[in-house]
Amino acid sequence: MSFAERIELTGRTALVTGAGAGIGRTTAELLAERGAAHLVLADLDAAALEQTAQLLTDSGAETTTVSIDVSDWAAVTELAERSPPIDTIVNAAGNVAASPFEDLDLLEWQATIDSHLKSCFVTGRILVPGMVERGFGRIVNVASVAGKRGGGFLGKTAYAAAKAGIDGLSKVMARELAPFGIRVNAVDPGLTDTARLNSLRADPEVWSRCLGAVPLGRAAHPHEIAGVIVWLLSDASSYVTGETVNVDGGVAME
Amino acid sequence: MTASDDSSAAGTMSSRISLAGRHAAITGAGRGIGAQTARELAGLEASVSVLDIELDRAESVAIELAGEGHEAAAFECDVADPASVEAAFDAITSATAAPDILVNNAGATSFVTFLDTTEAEWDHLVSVNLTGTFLCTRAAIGQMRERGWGRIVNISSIAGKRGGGFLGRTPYSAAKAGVLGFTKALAREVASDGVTVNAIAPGPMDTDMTQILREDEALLRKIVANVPLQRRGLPYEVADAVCLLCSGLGDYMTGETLNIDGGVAME
Repeated sequence: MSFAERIELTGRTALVTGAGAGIGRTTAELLAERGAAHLVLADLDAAALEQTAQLLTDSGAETTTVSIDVSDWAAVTELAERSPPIDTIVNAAGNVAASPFEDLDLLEWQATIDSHLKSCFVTGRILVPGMVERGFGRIVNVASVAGKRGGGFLGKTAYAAAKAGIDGLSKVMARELAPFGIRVNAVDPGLTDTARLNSLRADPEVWSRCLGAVPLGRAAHPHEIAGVIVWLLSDASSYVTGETVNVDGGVAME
Repeated sequence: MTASDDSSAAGTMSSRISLAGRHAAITGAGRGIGAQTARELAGLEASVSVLDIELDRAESVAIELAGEGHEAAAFECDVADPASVEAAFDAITSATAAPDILVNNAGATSFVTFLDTTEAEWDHLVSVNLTGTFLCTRAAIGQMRERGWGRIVNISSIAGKRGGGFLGRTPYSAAKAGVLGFTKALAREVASDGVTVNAIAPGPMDTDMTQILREDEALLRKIVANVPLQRRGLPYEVADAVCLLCSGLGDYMTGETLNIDGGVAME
């Protein structure tokens, strides 16, 4: 067996949340390329989700799309009941929350914690029992360097708190679930080149300040995050669990 | 730069994994993690220079790889000796080319407690584990910067983060923590030249370096009990992380330390 063979995901059935855009969409594409058999794609934006599904039509992976709120217990329960047994979860869903602390109201706080953090709890809590039963599971949660360093680019307090929460949740789940053949890890992207950055890019001064904070001097392409997610889901990372991998161009240096 | 939400990444990952046309030098590659790393980088089509303090060990790995159709050559190198490092990298450059990839893997450990550690033992362990990383990197990095592409992976240890705990004691932990500081400072310095510098912190591994555990079952049980994945790691599991960091999959990572430790660190 070689690295190239171990990083295949042949036959997997994966749930990808936030699959309508950015890191979630690109991860779905890479999962299909690596041989996943069935992709269950979730996103609140049904039209965006349809575009992701279109990109996968020739991939050979069976695709199901569900436009639900993945922090909604009932909706995820129903999804689990209608889906084949899911052995792989990528939690990439989450809103944009950019209010500075003085302007942050409870509604935005709650929506941010729910969409980023509670969604990881809900999908895990509902799907992990099946993984335990089958003795196999792989989970990667998309956190952020903002959770480690206290924002800096886009995310402010609510976002950073939710993302730091994801790192914590991932580690405890990793510890508890290791005996059952389930590995849980997180990736912590830095500045990633998705449509979300448009507001930063619009102001040359802001954009140049952002890039100046990145040792590699550029934003990541989503595939540079998704490639590490695939590694963490694959047998090429078989001795890795509870790890929060910074894929950030050198921002965190920790 | 434009937003990439609409760009398709499908069909591109296999090409990003390949190291065809790259040349990798791996220290301490005569056995264990280093030898497995040489095998795996060769498996991704890199040509490899196998360095080891014992030339016959390096040669047997190079012969094995050449027998499988890979480009591989062996070099004697004591990473703690500046003259030996200089001679080895001169020989590599004349034989093949300056390396694009450097894996600083050579290491040594000991099990003596602090109060039994002599100055000579301290100097030896710091020289091999930390100064050796500095010397080999100094020998290789000039060409990487000139070409505008380079990948350096330093093998540290979970002992450098947690203060030993399994096998390494004070000098080993200090030297391996030093490797992490070196990695980050260098990553910052050379990021704009297309050179990434990352570290790997393996947890308890099943290699010759931990041979003592093959005879001490009680100690082995105690160690494994503290590992969430409930076993020791194998050389290929560290080598796979080197592959990630040297291939296109790791292009956006620098100054990072990957814990390949079965969940011991959880940091």
